[in-house]
Order: sequence, then structure tokens, then C-alpha cells
Amino acid sequence: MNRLASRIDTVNRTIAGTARWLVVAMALVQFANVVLRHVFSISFIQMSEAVWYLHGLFFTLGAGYALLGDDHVRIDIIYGRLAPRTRAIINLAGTFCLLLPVCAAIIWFSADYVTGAWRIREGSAEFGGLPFIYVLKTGIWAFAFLLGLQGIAVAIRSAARLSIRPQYSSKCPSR
Amino acid sequence: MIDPLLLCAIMALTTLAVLMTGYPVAFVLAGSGLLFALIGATLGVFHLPLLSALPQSIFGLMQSPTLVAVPLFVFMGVVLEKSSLAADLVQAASKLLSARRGGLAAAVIGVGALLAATTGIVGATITTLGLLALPPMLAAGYRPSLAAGTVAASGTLGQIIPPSIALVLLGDQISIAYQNVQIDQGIFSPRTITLNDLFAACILPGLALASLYAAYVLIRARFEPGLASPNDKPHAAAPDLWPALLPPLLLVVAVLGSILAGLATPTEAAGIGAVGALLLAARRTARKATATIINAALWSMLALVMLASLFDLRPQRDVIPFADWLAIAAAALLTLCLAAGIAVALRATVRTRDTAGLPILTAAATRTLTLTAMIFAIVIGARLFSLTFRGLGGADFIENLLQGLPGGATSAVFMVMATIFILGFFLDFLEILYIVIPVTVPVLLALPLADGSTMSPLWLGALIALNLQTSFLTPPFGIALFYLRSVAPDAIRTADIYRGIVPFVALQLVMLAIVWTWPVLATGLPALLGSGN
Repeated sequence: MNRLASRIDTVNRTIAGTARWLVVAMALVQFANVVLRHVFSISFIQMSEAVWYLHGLFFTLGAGYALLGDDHVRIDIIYGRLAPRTRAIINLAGTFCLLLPVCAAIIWFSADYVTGAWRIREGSAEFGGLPFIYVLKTGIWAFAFLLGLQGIAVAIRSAARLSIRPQYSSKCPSR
Repeated sequence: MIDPLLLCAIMALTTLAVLMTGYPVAFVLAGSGLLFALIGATLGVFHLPLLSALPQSIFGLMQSPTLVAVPLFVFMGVVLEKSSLAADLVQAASKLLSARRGGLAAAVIGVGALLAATTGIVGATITTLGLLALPPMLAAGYRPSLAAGTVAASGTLGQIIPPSIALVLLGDQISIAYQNVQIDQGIFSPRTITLNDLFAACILPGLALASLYAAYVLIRARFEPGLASPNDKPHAAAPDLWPALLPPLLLVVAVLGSILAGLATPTEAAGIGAVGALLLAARRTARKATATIINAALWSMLALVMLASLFDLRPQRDVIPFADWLAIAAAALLTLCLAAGIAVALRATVRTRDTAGLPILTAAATRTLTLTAMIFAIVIGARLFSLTFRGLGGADFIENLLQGLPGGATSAVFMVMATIFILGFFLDFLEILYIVIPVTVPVLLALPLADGSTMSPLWLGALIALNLQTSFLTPPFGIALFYLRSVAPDAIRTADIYRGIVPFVALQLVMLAIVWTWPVLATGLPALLGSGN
């Protein structure tokens, strides 16, 4: 089970390793757009669309990795003082009652939306725009899938912590 | 059969209770939205296909031209933080001002305001200010509560002084609401408010708030008995003022200036800011040869702006006079120089490592990824929550409640403001922004004022922005307090932090009252710039 959790970590870490560069690409393309438009009065619709393509893929691909690093905001006034065991219970219960159902629901409710876009190979509504709306829409699935996947890793680790007998788990120092 | 409104109330209370367990906010909001939709559907009071609006709603976030500014502004701020440009600024300013009584605290507020005008990331500003300014403030004899309050409050200026992430999201919400309200009223060519307008509306209130803070700490310092003699210089080795002050000032002029002058949309300005921050970060860390190339790139940027304002540089036209040809050629050269500078900057930021040993660019990109993903996960969670809340009739209920209030529009606005303030104790700005605003703002904008007109969306926006700022500070769940706690030295107790922020929250409420009484503070600048309504 632990190996599965590590594999999941690797998946999200690898994806984030690529996805993080999308923001740099975004900055560069957007800057190029600004120079072309304001200096030379030239604009390429593909280049302005490329910016929001990058934006859309950026945060959908990064959500799972943010969970890996525990970067999703928690209200931690109570959580911060809890013993690791209690935290593990909260994370285990939260994953099964909240996170995984949500990820499943997002995939379920967007099934027609995403497959429909693939079926017609949906392109830009603008003339001359990028023809890859269907790829972008798949980002919704990627968001839910990567998040759910990382949720499974969180659950495995929490369960592993619970299986350690309590006297061995160290208490968290509270301020 | 159960009253759906009762279910709504249970859902709201359950969500608050589950949030307290510390499970990530995004998933608690989404999860309770989903669970109560299922419960409602089982009981026959919720129409489950309503949730199929979710994918369109998520996709709307992915392809919104406005929200593209969010990751770019985050990146800009993170680059400033990781490259220590922000740290230089804090140290230089406190060196300059610590010679005066209370000057150190005033310097913190000034730096907070300047960082706010460049980055607008509350967490990053507080971390930087807390690490660098708290120890010298304590050493100079400031009371821990005053020092902590000053740092936390200055950090939150990033939320109200544009450009800020919160204003980008708020502007998006308000402009949608404003258009829908007018269409509902049968106005088919609705007036629009843009993000530029909201940015302009928040500048004066933001600066006024910073001035209020500064006046307060200077007055407090007069009566602070233990304050060290004004000659103590806490930063002997601090960098000089101008080299430290210039880069952030340049960014403010480039980003905010281009937005206010109407030259660039906020999204374009965010692109300028992101690349500008990269250039400045590389310039700080790079060797001399590299720094020269980057300086040349910065000068070419300036020259390009001037060329573009003097000549017609469009290559795509039939007849081009000779002078314009020369100018176009010069502009092309300058652009090449700029591109070379950016390439060099990218290489320099990959080669220089931050304190954790990661290349600055990699560290900044990674941090931007997690911050942006966190923000949008909460927005998606709040959307799902709102879908269910709306589907169960909660939104209609609140709408009727607000419309039926005695006292009309004024008391409705007051009620909403009070709600946002109270919710701010428990939630932070993202949740409030995406749960309360979509339900209440359309109602407020449609309500007639005493003279029969409707209220200015910019005035309302500025009030909401000021009010949301308190949510960062109000205990127990103020985000600013967590950031401060994580970097504050042990000499500062959590109780000091809580006590320290009280006067600053009071000042925020004073500012709220001032803008309430004199709406021109918010509406004046946008009107002056010719873009407002």
C-alpha cells in the first residue's frame, strides 16, 4: 500500500514538474502579446488564446500536487493543536466523505460535457482561434482525477498512521 | 417533505462545523455542497441535474480572460519574494526611517503599501515583513502587540491596494452582477464596469487606509515608554535606499501606471509585471555582464514606449512614410534587445539558487503552481456549494430578505456589510467572495436609493474590498494571523498578535465608514480617468 502511495506521489510530482513551467510560458506569451499589440498594433488570436489555455491547464494540473504538499488552505486553529493520530482520522474521513465523492461527482457530471467536446473535436468560437477546446475541457477531468488520486495516497498514509499504536506516535507540540 | 430552507440552514451550519476540523476548505465546501444536493434530491427538494452546470462553471474559470491575471500576479509577487528584492526593500526602508520615533513602524507600513502595489499577495508580504521587520522592532523597544499588529495590518494592504488577486476576483464577480442586473431591468446595452475601474476605485481608499495606519503608529509611538532612543540603527549592513527602492517602484509605475492610464488591461499589465519582476530579479543576482544586458533591456522597454507614442509603428498598412520605416526598424531592434534581456534573465534566475537551494525560477514557478491551484480549488468548491445553496432556494430567501428590509437600499447594504464582517471571523476572502457576493450583490445593485437612482457598483466594490480585508485579520481564523504566527519570534505570543490587530481592524472599520459617507473617494478617480460611470 505504501508503494502505491509513493507511486501516486511520483505521478503528481512529475506532472507538476512540467506544469509549473506553464506559468513562465504564460508570462512570456502574454508579454509578447503586449509588445506586439501596443508597439506594432499586431495581434494573433492564437497567441491570446494560448495564454488562457496555459492558465486553464496550469491550475487544473497543479491541484493534485498542491494536495501532496498539503498546500490547500485549512482552518488550522484546532487542527494545528491535534495529535498526528487525530489529524489522520480527520484526513481519512475527509478523503472518503468529502474529497473522493466530489472528484467522482465532477467526473460524472462533466462526462457529457467533456466527451461531447471530444466527439465534435470542439475548436475555438473565434475565427482563426486554436482548435483544441476539447483538450482544454479535458482539464476538468484531469483536475478531478489527479486530486482524487492524491486523495487516495493521503488516505493510505493516514490509515498507516492509525495502525501504529498510539503510544508510539509522537504528540504534536502545541503553542 | 422537508422545508428546503431548513436544509439550507443545516447545510450552512454543518459546513462551518466541518471547516473547524481543519480539513481543507476547498473540499469541505465542495463536499457539503455535493452531500446536501444528494440529501435534497433524496428528499425530493433538490433537482439533481442542476449540478450539471458545474463543468461549464469550472471551464469558465479556465478560459476567463480576467482570471488569467491571477497566476501572473501571483508569479510576479513570488519572484519578488524569492529573489530577495522585497527583503532589500524592508531593510533599506527601516534603516532610513528608524532614526525617527515610531519611524520603524511607519517604514513597515510604507513598505507594506509599496509591496501591496506590486504583488498583492498577503501571505508573501507578511512573511517577508515578519521575518525582517519584527526582530528589529522588538529590539528597538516596541511593544510586541504593536509590532505584531503593524506587520499583520501592513501585509493585508496588498488586498486593497491594486493590483491585487482579491480585486481581480471581486471585479470579475461585480461586473457580471452589474451586467445581469441591467439586462434584468430591460437595459439592452448595459454599461459595464471593468477591472480597471475597480482598481482605480480602490486606490484612494487603500492609500488613505495606509495613511491612517501610519498616523496611528506615529501617535502611539509618542506614548510608548520603552521605545529605544531614536539614534539606534538596527540595520547597520542594510542595503542603500535607492537601489532597493527603485525596482519595486519601477514595477508599480509599469503595472499600475499602464492600467490607470488605460494603456493596458489588467491581464496585459500582469504579463508586463511578471516579466518585469523576472528582469529585476535577475538584475539583482546576476554578475556584471548579465546585469548590463538586463539594464539595456529595461532601457529598450522604455524606449519602445516612447517610440510607440511618437510614431505610427504599424507595419501592416499600405503606405508607410520613411520616418515611420526608420522608427519601425528601431523598434524591431529594441524588441530584439528586450528579448535578449529576457533570455538572459531566465538563464540567470535558473542559475541562482534561493535559500532552500532551488533555482529561483523553479522555486517561484512551483510556489505559483501550488498557490494558484489552492485558490482555484477553493473557488470551484465555493461554486459547488453555491449551486446547492441556490438550488435549495437559499439565494431567493436572502434576496427577499434584503428587498423587504425596512430602510431600503441603505439598510440592505449595511446588513450585507455586517454579514461579511461577521463571516470574516470564520472564513477568508475567497469563500466570502464566491458565496456571499453572487447572492447579495445583484440584489443590492438593483435596489433603488432614496433618490430613485441605483448605487454605484464601484462604491459597493470598494466597500466590499475594505470589508473583506478585515477577514484576513479577525481572529480566530484570520489568514494573516497564521502567516505571522509562522514567522514571528517566540517573544511574540499569540495573545499579543490578537491584541495587536484590534486597533487596526478598528481603523479598517473607520475607513469603511469614511468611504460609506463620502462615496466620491471610490468613484472619483475612475470618473476622472474617464472610464468610470
